[in-house]
Amino acid sequence: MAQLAQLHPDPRAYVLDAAAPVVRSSITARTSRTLLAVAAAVCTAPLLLVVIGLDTAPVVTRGLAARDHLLYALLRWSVAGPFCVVGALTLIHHMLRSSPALLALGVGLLGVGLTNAVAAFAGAGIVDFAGLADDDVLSAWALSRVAVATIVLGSLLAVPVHARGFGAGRLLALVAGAVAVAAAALVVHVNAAVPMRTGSWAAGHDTAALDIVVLVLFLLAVPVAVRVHAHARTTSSCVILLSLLFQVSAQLYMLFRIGSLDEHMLGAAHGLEALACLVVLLGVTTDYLATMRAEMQHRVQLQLAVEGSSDGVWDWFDVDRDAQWWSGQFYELIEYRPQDIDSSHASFKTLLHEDDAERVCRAIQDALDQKTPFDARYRLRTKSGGYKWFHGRAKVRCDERGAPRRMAGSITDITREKSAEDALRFQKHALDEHALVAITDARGRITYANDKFCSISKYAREELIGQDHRIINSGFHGKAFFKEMYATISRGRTWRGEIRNRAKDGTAYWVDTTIVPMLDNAGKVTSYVAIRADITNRKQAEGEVLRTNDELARKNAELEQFVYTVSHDLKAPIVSLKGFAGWMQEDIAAGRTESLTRCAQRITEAAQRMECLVTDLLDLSRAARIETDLDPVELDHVVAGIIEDYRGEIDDRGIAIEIEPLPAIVCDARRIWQVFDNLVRNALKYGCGSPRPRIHIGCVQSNEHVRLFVADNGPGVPAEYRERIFRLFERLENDQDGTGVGLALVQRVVVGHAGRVWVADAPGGGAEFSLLFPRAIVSAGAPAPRADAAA
Amino acid sequence: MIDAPDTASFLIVEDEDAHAELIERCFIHGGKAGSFVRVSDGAEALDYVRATGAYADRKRPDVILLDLKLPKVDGHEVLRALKQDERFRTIPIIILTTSASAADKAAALHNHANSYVVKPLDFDRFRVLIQEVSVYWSVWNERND
Repeated sequence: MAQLAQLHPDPRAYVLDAAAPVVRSSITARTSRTLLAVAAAVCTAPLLLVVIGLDTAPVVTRGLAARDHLLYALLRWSVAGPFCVVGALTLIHHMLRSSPALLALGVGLLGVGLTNAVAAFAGAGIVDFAGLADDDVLSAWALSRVAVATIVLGSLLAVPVHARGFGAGRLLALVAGAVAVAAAALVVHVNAAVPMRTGSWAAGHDTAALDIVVLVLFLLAVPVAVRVHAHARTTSSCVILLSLLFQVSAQLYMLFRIGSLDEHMLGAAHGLEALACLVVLLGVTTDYLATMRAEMQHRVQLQLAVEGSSDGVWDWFDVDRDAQWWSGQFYELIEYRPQDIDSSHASFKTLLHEDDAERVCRAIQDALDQKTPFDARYRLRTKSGGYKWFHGRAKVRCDERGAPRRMAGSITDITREKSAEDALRFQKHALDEHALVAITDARGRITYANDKFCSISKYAREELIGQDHRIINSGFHGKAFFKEMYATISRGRTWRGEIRNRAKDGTAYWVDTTIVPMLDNAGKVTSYVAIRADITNRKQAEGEVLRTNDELARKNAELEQFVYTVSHDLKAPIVSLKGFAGWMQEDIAAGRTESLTRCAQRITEAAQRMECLVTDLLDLSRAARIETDLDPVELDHVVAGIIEDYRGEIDDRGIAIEIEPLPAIVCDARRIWQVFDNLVRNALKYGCGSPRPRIHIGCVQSNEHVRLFVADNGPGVPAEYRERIFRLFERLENDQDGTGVGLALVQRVVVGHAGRVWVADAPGGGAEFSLLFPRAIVSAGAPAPRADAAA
Repeated sequence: MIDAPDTASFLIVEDEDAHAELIERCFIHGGKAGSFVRVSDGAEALDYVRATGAYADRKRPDVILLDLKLPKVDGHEVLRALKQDERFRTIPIIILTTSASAADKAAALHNHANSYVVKPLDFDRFRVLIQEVSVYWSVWNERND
C-alpha cells in the first residue's frame, strides 16, 4: 500500500470516484454507432448465409463434423484467454480504486475464463475428467455463459448512473437475474438426475433451458448497458454494449439450432461468443492503456510540480496508521536525508518546536475531526538543531462513510518573512514605546491610534477613531499654522513642527510632530501617518527658562534703577561738601571768619550723612541675601534686646512699652534683628510725639499665618504714603537723620522670608506695622518630636 | 531772606537744608538778587503757591526752583499740579536736581518744566549756574511784567 501511495502523491488522484467505470477514455457517439452497426452485421451474417442457402459448412462445420479438436480448442481458448486477461486487469483496477464492484467483476470474469479453459481442455480431450461426457462439457459451457451474463448484468447494475427511477428497474433486473441463476441450477440438477445422451454434439438439445436463461439475462443487461453508455460514453461502455450484442446473437444461434444446420449454428454461436470476448478485451485494454498513459502524464506533471516547488509536500495516506510520504523538498527543508528519519506523524511531532507542538497537534486533530482544511504557522527543528518557520496547509479526505481517511498537504518555508515580520513588529513596538502614532485617511479622519496617543490625549481609542484632529486642537495655533501644515502634507511632502494639543481633561501637552503622507502609485495621498513625541516637559523647561530670563531682566532693570537712585542720593552730600568747602575758601580769602564754623558744620553733616547712607546701603544689600541655614530665633529675646538698646531714650521720654509673648521663628537672626530695630526706631522717632507715647509689640497667629506687629500711638501714616514709604530713599518727614533706607530694608528682609509687610492705622490711632509670615516659619521649638521618634 | 518788592521773588523747593543754604548764599553773593523763600517738601510748596494753609498771605512767586526728590509730594507731582493749574502755569519752573536721569528729564520737560538743571558737583560751577539762573529768570520776569 505504501508503495502504491508513493506513486500517487497527489491527493487529487483520489478524486477519481471509487465506483467509477473501470476506464475513462471516452468514445464519440459516431464511433460507437459505427461499431454497433458493424457488430450487428457480423451477428446477422451467419443467419443471412443460411437464409440465402449458402452452405457455410465447409468453413466451420466441416471442421467440427470432422471432430477437428484443434479448431474447437482454439475457439474455446479464444474465449478463455480474453476472460482471464480482462479479469486480471479488472482486479488490478480494483486495487487502484478500491471498488467492490470491480472486485466482483474481476473475480467473476476470471472464474468464467477458467471454466472455459477447463471446457476447452476437456472438449479437446487434452484432459480427461473421469466420467465427464461431452454433454457435461456442453453443460459446463452453458453454465459458464450463465455466469458471464449474470456478472455482466450485475456489474452494469453496480455502475451508479444516478438516473431517476432507475432503482425499481435495477431491483427488477436483480430479481430476474436471481431467477435465472436459480433456473440454471435447477436445469443442472435435472441433467444430473437424468442420464444424458452421449455421442453427437448435434443431438444435444438438453442445454436449451440454460440457453434461455442466458438469453434472458443478456437481454435484461442490454437496456442497462445502453443507459450506462448514454450516461458516460466511454470505450468500455461501448464495448460492453457490443459484446452484449454478440452474446445475444450467440444465444439465439444456440437456441435455434435446427436439423442439418445444427452444427453450422453451433459454430456461429461459438464464433460470436469468441468475438464478444475479444471485443471486450480490446476495449478494456485500450481504455486501460489510455488511463495508464493519462495517469503517467499526470504523475509526471505532478512530480514536476512537487519537485519544482519550493514547498515540501507530505501525504498521510492512511490516518489510521502512522506512516507518511514526504517529498524530496520536504526532506531538504528540514535538512534531513530520507534514510535519517522516519516519514511519520510521530517524527513530525518530534520536529515541532515545543511552544508550537500543542497548538499544531490540536489544529491537526481539529482538521481530522471536522474535515476542515488545516492552516497553521509553526517551527520545525532542522537536523542542525536550528528552527525554521513554516506555513503548513493540508486537506483531509474522507471515505464513503465520511470518516477521515487521508490527509495531505504542504509546508512553505516562511523563516525569512517571519524574521522580517518580527523585525517590523519590534520596530513598531519600539516606535509605540517612544511616540504617539496616529493614522488618518486622506480626509483627516483618524483610523488608527496607538496606546501612547490614547494615554497622553486621555481619550479612549473608540473616541478618537473616526474623528479628525480637531478633537485635540488646543486653539493655541492660528488658522494659518494649520493651513501651512495642510498645504505641505496634501502636496505629498512631510511636515514637521511642534504643536500644542489639548487632552480630554483640558490639560495642554506639546508634541514634536512629523506627518508623513502615504501616496498611492498615482502619487495621490491615501492616508497620513502622524508620529509625535511628547515634549511637554521640554516646553515647560523652555517656559521656565523664558520666565527666568524675564525675571533676570527685571532684576537687572531693578538693579540699574537701584544703582541710579543710589548714585543720585550719594551725589547730594557731595554737592554740599564741595559747595561749603568752596565757600570756606572764599570766606577765608575774603577774611569772613564768622561763617567758617557754619561751613565746617555743614561739611561734617554731609560727611556723616554720606557715612549713614553707605552703611545703610550695605545693610540693604545684605538684606537681599538671606542666609540659607536658618535657625529658630526667640523673638522675645530679640525685641527685649532692642528695647534695652533704646532704654535711655524710652525712660527719658516716658514711653510706655508693651510686649506680648512672641513665638520663636525660623529665620536669619541678624536680618530679623534689623527689621525690629528699624521698626522700633521708626516708632520712637515718628510715633512718640503724643503726650502719652506708647509702643505696642505683639503677635496674632492663625492656622495659616503668623502676624507680628509694632504699633505706636503717634500721628500714623496718611493712606497715600503707605506704599511709598517702603521705597528706597523715600522719606515722609524732612528730617536729616533718615536716609530712606530703613523701611526698604525691612521690606526686603520680610519678602526674603516669604512674608509681607504693610502699615495701617493702629487701633485707637497711630501707625501699626505688620509683618505677615506663613505659619511654617514658626519654630516647632524644642526638639521634642525628634525625641518621640527616637523612643 | 531778603524782601525786595521790586525784584523777582524766587521760591526754592529743597529738602536738603545744606543745598538750600548753598543756593541762598549763591543768590546773596551773586549781585543780582531777588527775594526768595525756601520750603522743604512738595506739599509745602503747593500750599505756598496756592496760598493755602500756613501761607495764606504769601507773595506770589515769580520763579520756582524745584527739586525732584522731595518728601510727601515729589517734585514731578508738584510740577504737574502747577502746570495744569490755569492760575500758576505761567510761573516759570526750573528743575534743580542732582538727578541726571534721562527719564527724570524727559518727564519734567513733558510736564512743561521751563528748564532742567542738574546740580553741578563743582562749587564754582554751582555758584555761577545759580547766579545765571537767577539773573536770567529775573530779567525774563521783568520783561514779561
